[in-house]
Amino acid sequence: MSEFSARGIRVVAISVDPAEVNRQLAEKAGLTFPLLSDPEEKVIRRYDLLHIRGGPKGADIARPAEFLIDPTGTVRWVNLTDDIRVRASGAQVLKVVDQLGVGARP
Amino acid sequence: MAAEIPGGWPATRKLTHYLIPDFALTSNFLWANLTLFAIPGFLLGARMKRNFGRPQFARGKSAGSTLAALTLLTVILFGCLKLSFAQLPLSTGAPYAGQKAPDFTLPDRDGKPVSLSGLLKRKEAGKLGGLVLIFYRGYW
Repeated sequence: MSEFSARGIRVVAISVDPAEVNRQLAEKAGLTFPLLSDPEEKVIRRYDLLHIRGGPKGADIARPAEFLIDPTGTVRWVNLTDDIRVRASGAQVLKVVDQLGVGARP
Repeated sequence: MAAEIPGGWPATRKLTHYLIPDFALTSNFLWANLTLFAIPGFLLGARMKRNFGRPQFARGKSAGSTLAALTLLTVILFGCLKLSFAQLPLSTGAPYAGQKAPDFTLPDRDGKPVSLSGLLKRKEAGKLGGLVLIFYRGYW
């Protein structure tokens, strides 16, 4: 995480989980970045990431994905990841960050 | 826990996800799942046993084989349906490199609204470097 901070890059994660669950997850996993709640899948749909009946008991959820967005709000890299629930894929994204020249110099 | 997921876990999860049908009744109650396969299995077994046990009366032998084939076909079809449901969506409408990321406002874990545009404007460690936006499945 400090590698991202050094480059001025923030991290934020979105799922259908409500705020209470996110609070517990953040505490349990020691996450410092924001966990945002999208229970009605509004943003998930906007980003076309809806996985119908993909969750437990046939619940609609988001399929995993990561976007690298530069300060102008432009997407610079997309990773539509496979079956992994939360993916703070630090090293991989960092590599992309540096290769694309996104972010400030560390 | 968030950063490193054990290598074996996604594989076994995927396996059960594909093999066990994902319909409401059968995902809630495992016995319903087993019944689904047990009924045709039992009928098949009974029929075959009867046919081969009494060959002189087994006029329905061909019917028995047909039933066996049909049962097998049903199981295979069921499995294929399950596999198709288990695949990830194509997400062809997801923003691609070069596009503007759609703005949004969602509540954080304390219920406070957080917007993408707001996040992009805020400096991190005194620098403006951008953002990694992660979508995950949830249901922790």
